[in-house]
Amino acid sequence: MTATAPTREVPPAVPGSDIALGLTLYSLTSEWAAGRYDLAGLLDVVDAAGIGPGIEIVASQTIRTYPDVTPEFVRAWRDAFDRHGFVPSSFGCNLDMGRRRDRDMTPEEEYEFTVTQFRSAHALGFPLVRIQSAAPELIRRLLPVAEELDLTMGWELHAPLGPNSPKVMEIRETYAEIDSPRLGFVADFSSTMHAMSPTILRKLARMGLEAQDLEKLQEIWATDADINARHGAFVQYLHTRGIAPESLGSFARLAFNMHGHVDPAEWSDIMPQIKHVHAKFYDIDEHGDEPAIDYPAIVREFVRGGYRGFFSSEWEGHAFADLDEADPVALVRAQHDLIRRSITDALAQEG
Amino acid sequence: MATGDTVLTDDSLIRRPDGLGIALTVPWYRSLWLSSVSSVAVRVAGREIPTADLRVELGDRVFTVDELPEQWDVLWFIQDRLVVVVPMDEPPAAGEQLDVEATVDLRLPYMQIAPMTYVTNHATSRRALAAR
Repeated sequence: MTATAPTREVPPAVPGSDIALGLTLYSLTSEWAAGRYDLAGLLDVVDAAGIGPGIEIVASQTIRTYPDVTPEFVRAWRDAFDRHGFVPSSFGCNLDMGRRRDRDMTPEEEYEFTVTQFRSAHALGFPLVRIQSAAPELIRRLLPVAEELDLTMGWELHAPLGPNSPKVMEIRETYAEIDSPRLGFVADFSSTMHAMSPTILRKLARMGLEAQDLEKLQEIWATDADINARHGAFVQYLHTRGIAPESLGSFARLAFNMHGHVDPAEWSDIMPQIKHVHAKFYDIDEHGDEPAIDYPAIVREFVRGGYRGFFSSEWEGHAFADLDEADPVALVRAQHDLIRRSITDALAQEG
Repeated sequence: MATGDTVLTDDSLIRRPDGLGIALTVPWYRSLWLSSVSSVAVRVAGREIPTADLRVELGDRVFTVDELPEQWDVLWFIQDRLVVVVPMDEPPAAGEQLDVEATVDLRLPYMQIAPMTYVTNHATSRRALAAR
């Protein structure tokens, strides 16, 4: 592969801030899946809307030859990035351990499959790979490859977990043992929501839940029981109401899986290890706020903690909303305004 | 329909010389190996089509439904359609409306719960669509 191009200057979200903006193309999943755009067309839309410059991908969504990239793809990608002045932010790896039906991947196959994606990420100019497994043996084996390719590895910390959940504490211990600056976290704001998103409540209402059912759901969601216990309690409630849980598809469980209610202050416990941010959101209301995620409070933690890096906008409403029910591009633009406003306020408070 | 439950789209029905092609969208946010497709079932005008009668096309490759779990090296790219071909004695006329239901069961290969056990997704769409 050719040498990586010199890193482009990334403008801050607001002057004096260490936070830069951008988005993950995952925000436009519905339009992408529907075939509305090819990659060049999608990047044109992002540029026209001014919602870059940081571009993140889920490799298994964006790359036809996943987990590899072809020289033609790399060339077209780099041309588009030069044309638009975009900056690659995070390459989302997947670990398809269950690719075969007769057995799971061997440790050797897990390593090889991941290394292939690391090489693809490097070829496309990414500085960071989002990883899904932080198994100590795998991490230790991958580290020299990350060093060779100048990549940082970020394990995605997502709802229902938070920075101090037992599983995350284990990873933090592994990181402490290995002690490499190339290891860290991708912080996803789904962990720190103060309410369920109106988008999923709307979807569940459309699927037949009444106001009292949605109230009960939110009541159970707000408790501290683990995800299985909360899901179980809700299923039990549905039975008492004569509602078949199956009638809600996977959405009743997703509600607990995709929305966590950890205190935003906990991000500060791992701030130096946060290498990238998924600025998750579902909606922006008429006041310019995200109705279920307290952006001003979260941004304050990141500004105070000295976070340097991208806030990569991740609109996930497409998991619950139909194609064309919402305009992800307009929503990301409105969310960027919210983030800028929150950073400005936080800087003023700090100053 | 949202990311996880979109199977049929407005232009899903395709007339074929020997029957009907039903173009399916992967009901997930990413591309998946064909081995992730645990089953495909279709009903046309209320009639369940026997699985053995179905052929599944991805580009120029053709499989039976039973062969899908072995295709761990074939990627169903999210922008490509998996065309299920239903044999019919009398193929539909252009513009003819048909009541079609398609069900896809997925095993998500990167979401392991326990060894050999993965999160699944069950997606069904039923729509009246015009054959093109």
